[in-house]
Amino acid sequence: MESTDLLFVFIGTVDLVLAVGFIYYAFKNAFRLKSAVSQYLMAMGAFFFVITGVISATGVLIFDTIFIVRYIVFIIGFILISTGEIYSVMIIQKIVGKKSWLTIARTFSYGSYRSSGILVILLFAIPLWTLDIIIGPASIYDIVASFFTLLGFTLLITGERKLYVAANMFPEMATTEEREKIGLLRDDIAAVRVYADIINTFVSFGKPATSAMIVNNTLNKWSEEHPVLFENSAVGNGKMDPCVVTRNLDRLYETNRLSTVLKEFSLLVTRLVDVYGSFTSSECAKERIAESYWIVKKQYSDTSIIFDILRTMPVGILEEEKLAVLNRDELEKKVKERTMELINANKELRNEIKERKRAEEELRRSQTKIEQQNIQLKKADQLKTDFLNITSHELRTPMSAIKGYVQIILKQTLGQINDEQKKALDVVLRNTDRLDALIQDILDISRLESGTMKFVVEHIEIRKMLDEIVETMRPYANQKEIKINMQIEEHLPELVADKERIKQVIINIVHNAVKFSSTDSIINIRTRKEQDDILFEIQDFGKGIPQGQQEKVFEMFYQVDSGSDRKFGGVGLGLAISQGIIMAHGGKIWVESIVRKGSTFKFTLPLKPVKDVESRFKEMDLFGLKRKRR
Amino acid sequence: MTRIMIVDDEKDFRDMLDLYLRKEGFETNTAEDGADFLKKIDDFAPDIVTLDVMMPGITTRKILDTLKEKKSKSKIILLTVVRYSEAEKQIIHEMGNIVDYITKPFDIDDFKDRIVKNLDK
Repeated sequence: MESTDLLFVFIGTVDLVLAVGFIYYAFKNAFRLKSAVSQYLMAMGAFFFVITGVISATGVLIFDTIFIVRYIVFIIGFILISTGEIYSVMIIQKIVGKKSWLTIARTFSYGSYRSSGILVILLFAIPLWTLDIIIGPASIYDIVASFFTLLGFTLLITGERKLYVAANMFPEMATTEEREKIGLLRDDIAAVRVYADIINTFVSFGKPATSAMIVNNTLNKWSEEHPVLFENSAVGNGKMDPCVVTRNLDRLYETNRLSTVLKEFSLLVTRLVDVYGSFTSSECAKERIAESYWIVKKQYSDTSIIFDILRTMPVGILEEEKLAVLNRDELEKKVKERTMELINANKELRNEIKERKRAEEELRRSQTKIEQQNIQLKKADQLKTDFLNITSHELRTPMSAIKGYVQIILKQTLGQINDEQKKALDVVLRNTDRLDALIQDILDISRLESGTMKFVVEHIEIRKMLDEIVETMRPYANQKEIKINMQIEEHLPELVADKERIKQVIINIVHNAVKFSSTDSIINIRTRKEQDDILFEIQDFGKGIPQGQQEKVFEMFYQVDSGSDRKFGGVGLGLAISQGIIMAHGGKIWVESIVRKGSTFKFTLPLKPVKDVESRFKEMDLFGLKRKRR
Repeated sequence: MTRIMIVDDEKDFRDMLDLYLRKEGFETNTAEDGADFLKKIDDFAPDIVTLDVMMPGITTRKILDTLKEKKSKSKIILLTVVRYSEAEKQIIHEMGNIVDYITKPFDIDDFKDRIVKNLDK
């Protein structure tokens, strides 16, 4: 066998392989797209190329004239492929828009490799094959023609691959770069075109008046939101020209705004599907809507479907499968019901909003009022504190002068005074002290009640404190020959409290005890530790307090026996103040008493001191005054 | 003779203390407010000052600051109507040469005892 014969065998085999590959893609595509006539044509053309390849590979071994047969078969194959391609171009043109050289060129660039394959075969392979026939087989032209055929096929198949990559039908075939450059770009355009078509579909479906109105309103709204996209796209009856939308899109492409627009656009379709979904009963429409909805939902994750739709739509799915007639009555009834529901819901919503607004307004008003009241209360509180401080100073200053002068005269520093004068001045002095004590009590009770009493907390040695108290009280007790006994438990821990105030409490109780005891009596003061507290007891053997009045003695201005109390003096504030002081320290105070046998006043103070006596104190309504006022 | 200066805006009270302390054998002088006091202190140079803390005009704090600037050696007894906590006393003590606090109204014998006691310190 000659070397040229071997070359023919080789070329023919390669032709065969390439043609089979082409058929594979074409059929795969055709099956996927169902009605893609162009693909069938191309597949058939490729089949003829297969025969050509077979003839090239085997014919040379049989007889020379077989080349004429091969030539004819090749030409038929080529015509078929070209027809398929042209039909394909027409389809794409229909999608892209009006026929023009520009769109044709653009369409060809769509599958540029494939198109150049055809051109190569048309411009080089065919003339050479023709020359080959004229001059004679197995010439140099034969070899060159085979070369160009090979090149043409390679380009065709590469183009086909590129196209599929672009369509994302076989994404595994694409490189990352390709995906980015071709895939996404095509996908974007494809997706938007689908959206435009979907919208158009909706509009044509919108026959019942209400749905048409809603669709129109929606479209108008979108046109307002996306004026650039919908510019000049209206073609009447609420329809729009998808080609114009596409052109607008191209413009957006240049300004790099497509991705955002696309995102919003898909959102629009989703909304439209939502709105429209309830108005149609057509199976086809439902299918389309479901499909569109699915596309929109998936966004760009599987764009092959989008491309499918893009390619098949112009073939006439929509035109061919005419929409089933909508059951208008049912639809309108549904629409009416739905509209009524909407109206009612709207009414309710409006009422609710009104109600809520009113409540909010009221809340705001009362808040402002409370704030103002708070400010006023704070002012009043401050005023009261100031008043108490000033009063305290102003009342006690003249008392100081009176007391001082009386004492000076009584000391006879300013000269001798007689017994009657002395007696009179003693009364003045005693009453001055009483008045001072009274002022002190009133100030105390006011401060306790307003929560402005000042507590000076320190460590207290209990025994020392009690000694001081007994020392103070002894002269007063001696007047009635009353003995004061102390029973203090050994090793008592220190207390942390306001020493002066605690002393005030004990002195007040002891003072009462002396006051209500008969002459030559005894008063016992006992102190011991009880769990976490220190317990103080002051026992007298006086007239006692009746059962029903034992709690009342701690109330303000309460006196056990009003008749007798005048004799003893006092206004009935002492125990109320004592209670306030003890409670502020976190303790308890109470009395146990039997009439004619005597009383025992008891109070506890916690060993673990209350952290902030003053602020704790402010929280309490010790005397129920605030309650009473209300 | 021990010199005592009585600073109080209440004339009657001031006169009462003045009379009493003179009768008790002290050399006394009086001032009706902070400004008056600061005017007189250099000439009189008291051993002890009884200073009312609530007076119109110059604040007690300002008075104490001025005394500190003057490096006054006078001991001061504050006359108040409120009680101070130990913490407050500590703060006040740092403000000047405060030796005692007496709450109004008081027993005048007790008052004299406190003066004598502080003089000896």
